[in-house]
Amino acid sequence: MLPFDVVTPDSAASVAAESSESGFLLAIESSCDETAAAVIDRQRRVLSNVVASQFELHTRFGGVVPEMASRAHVQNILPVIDEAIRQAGIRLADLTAIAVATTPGLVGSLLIGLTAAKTLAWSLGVPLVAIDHLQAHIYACQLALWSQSGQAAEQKVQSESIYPCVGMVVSGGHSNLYACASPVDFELLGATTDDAAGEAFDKVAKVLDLGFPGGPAIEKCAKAGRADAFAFPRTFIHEERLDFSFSGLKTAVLYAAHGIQGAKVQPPPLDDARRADLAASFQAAVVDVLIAKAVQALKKTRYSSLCVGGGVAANQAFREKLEQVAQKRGFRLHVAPRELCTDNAAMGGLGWELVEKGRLAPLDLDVSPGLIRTAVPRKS
Amino acid sequence: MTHHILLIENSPPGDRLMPSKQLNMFLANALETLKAGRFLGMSCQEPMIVLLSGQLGAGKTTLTRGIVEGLGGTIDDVSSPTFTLIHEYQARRSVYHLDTYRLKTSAEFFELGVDELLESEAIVLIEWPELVSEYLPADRLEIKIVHQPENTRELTAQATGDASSRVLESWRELLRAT
Repeated sequence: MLPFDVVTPDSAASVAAESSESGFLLAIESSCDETAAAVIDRQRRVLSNVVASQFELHTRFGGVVPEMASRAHVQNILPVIDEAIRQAGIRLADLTAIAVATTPGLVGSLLIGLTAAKTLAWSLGVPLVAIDHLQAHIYACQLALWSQSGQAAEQKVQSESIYPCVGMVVSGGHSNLYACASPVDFELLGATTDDAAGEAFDKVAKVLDLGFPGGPAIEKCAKAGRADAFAFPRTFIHEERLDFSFSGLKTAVLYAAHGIQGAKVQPPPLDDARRADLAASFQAAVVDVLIAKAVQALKKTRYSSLCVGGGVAANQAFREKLEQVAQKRGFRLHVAPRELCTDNAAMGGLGWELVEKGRLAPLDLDVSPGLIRTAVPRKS
Repeated sequence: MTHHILLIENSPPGDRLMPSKQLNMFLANALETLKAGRFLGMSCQEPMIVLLSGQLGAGKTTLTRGIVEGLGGTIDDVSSPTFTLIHEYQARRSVYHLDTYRLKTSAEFFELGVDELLESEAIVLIEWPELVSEYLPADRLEIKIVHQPENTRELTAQATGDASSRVLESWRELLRAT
């Protein structure tokens, strides 16, 4: 897969000038830890993509940027929006529409993004659209596909659609499978019954003393290990249900690593070789289950494409196995580029689909913290 | 289920006037953890704060799944809130499922707006409560789950006030009866 490039700041101004007739969407994301803003033009080109935790805001704006909690979003949101506008080479007055993630997430965090978005939409007199954060994770695959194509803008929006597809979002907070009829019509096919895949990576990294964040730590450690050293459970793999469970796997690694107090047989000391074998075997178990369920979802929906997004999709072992299985089974595979796997606002380019379908949100829009299970929005 | 959850009765026999504010049980497998949770959920007839302690993999989320089902909610709605911090489930009462695993200070916890939840009419379940327990209301049900050999667990529940004692006694009766 080609790397995904944001239009460079140097060229953003000229791109902005040329796309001024078609318009600019400001997308805002504050559903969990990251405060993020991005500008995407109607041709779905990402002109800027700013994430607070990655961006050295505190050097520009003074003060430390704490990572969590609503207060951090309050401190970050305006500088992040300003930076996104500046990097895109436009002015606020150039915006055509505002998109904001309103579900799922933490209510306090979502509200900050929503309030900023409403205020901008009202003061600029432009439409507001509400984004499902999980739909946006899948849309990252669509943006990447278009960014690779050399076609003229209008044609490429018409063609090369990743939809309909099976969408898989695997991250710290979610392990969800969707039937995606269109960019904005999702039906939840399955989810985790306990820990999300990314959470399992973090917790197992802790069990193995590998540090945080756990995903890259496990991936690195696993390279020196044997994936078949331990036969860890692949929960639900032979069952028809499309749900995931990673809690039992986490516990199995814990017991294999440290044993159980009072048990007669205790495992050997946890040295680097054993750590690598445990990491590799754990990673293989997660990858096996994710891919098996994705394949089952393809059969069930009869869709021929699989699109994968979310932080765990950055894992190289997972990506390689996905490629192999896609080739062997002959389905189309789109994995979000690494830069768009973790939370970001560029994937909020999804907002254009809502703008073009006329699905605008009223200014009394509220957030919806819970996971939406069907294509029909849940009444709150 | 063919057998009962094994209650470890450690209060002196016949001591009816001073029922123990503690409950101990042995959980043979995850199904029993679910079942114990279901009985606890059925016992929660009033707003309640439940603290869930235990190492990784002890079964805190599994117990929560049972509790939510016992409260009339949907078991499939329940998943670990480690990353997402707060989950809300619809049941006979609203259930808030919180997790401090990822937090570094108690201030971060309260910045989530937890004080409002604690004063609501809801059932509030808190995983990894050690970080914040001293700032929580005094009357709560404190549950600890400890790994035991053969993938089994020992669960200890402690009531620290009137409301939690009522829940604990109702839970004990359900466990004894079935």
